[in-house]
Amino acid sequence: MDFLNVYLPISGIEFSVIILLIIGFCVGTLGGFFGVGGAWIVTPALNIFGFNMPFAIGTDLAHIFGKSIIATKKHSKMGNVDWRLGLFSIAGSIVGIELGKRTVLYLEKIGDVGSVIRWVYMVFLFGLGIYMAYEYYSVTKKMKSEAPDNLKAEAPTREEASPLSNKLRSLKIPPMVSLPVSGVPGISFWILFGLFALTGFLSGFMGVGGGFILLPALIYLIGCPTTVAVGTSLLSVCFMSGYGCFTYSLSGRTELVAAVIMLFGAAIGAQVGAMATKLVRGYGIRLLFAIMIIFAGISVALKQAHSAFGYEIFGTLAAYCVMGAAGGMTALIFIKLIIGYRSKGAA
Amino acid sequence: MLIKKKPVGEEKSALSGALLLAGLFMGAIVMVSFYPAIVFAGGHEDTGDLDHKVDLENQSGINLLIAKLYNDHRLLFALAVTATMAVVGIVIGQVTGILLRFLGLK
Repeated sequence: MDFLNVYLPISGIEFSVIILLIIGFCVGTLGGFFGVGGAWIVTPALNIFGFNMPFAIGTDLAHIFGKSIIATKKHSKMGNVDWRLGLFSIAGSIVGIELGKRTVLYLEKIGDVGSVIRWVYMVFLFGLGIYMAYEYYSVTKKMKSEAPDNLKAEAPTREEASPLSNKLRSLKIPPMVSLPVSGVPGISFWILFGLFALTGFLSGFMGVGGGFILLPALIYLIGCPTTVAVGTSLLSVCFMSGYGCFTYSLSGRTELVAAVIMLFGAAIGAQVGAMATKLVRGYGIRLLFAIMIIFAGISVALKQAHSAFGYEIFGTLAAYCVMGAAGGMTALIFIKLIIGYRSKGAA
Repeated sequence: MLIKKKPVGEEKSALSGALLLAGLFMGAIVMVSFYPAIVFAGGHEDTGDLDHKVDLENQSGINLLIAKLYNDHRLLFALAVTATMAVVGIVIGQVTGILLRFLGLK
């Protein structure tokens, strides 16, 4: 099966084209569906299959850049990108990332920063995942009790702005900004900037691109509809990964050939994921996202166990946990897409 | 024929909004350009030996071209990788879009 391997000129290794295409497809589907870059899936996957860590990160960022262009374009066509909000998020995130980085450097001087970051990660992922799953459960319960009997089997369709986002919108600190695409008539510039600086801080502190932090922030704090939050989050991921791709390439840690092959898989996946957002209801996307980040939390907990007890098996389990969750979720999105099209065709 | 005209206040606020956004965006670009460590700074991963050179002996064709660029012109290599990913992303996006439409998945 040597013909299915490709020689990667920079890292000097042979690598399976099929594995690259599958990784690309999975992360492309999840990216298009959830509005995330997916570095937390691709980096451990490439690392398991033989890339050293710096090459895995650089190659991952390069492919995420190409993929997020495709997904942003697709979402933009569907009217899911709030460009104005996206630009605010980029500007605010940069300030926040810098603060996050400085905090990490300070913690590095005084002790074990890796462990602190993993604990923050776990609290954040489990907390957010459980909250989103609980929200889905309570909204479903409420709607079912209010709906007539013949509609009780339906999942919730109508999205309401969260109470927290309503509160934040009511703070009238000038200058006020309107976000028509997101359905926000007016929100203070300072609230927006502060929020994005905070999400940027978490990105910088945890060392991630930020899509999976930005998505819930846009939904619960700004009050964006889920599909607009997905599209706008992708715009921000596009900017961040583009810059990441450039800097990692400058330090010589990008494998262009592998990134392009992954991009082929991701291109199809991104289209599939973006189309699936049209067929899965907003609250459904939130529930699946909640499940995905709970699995990511379990993976980080296993990494922490690896660091604390030193058993290699925990590290391996951590990587397989996140990859298994990504593969399973991709299959689920694909099935939902097919079912959605069949039921539309039948109607 | 009646022509609907935007109120002056609305035009002014749209202009100031656009200027504010443009300013923020330019500020972000300038910050990133002068202080590149900002983005992904929290990655906590060593980027490895920056002087790493690729062995050109067994390379040919496009691989040789990439390896030469990598060894001799790192900035050009970085620009080429970033531009390639953007261009390939756009092209593949268009082609897969057409293919999916052809398969009936609009």
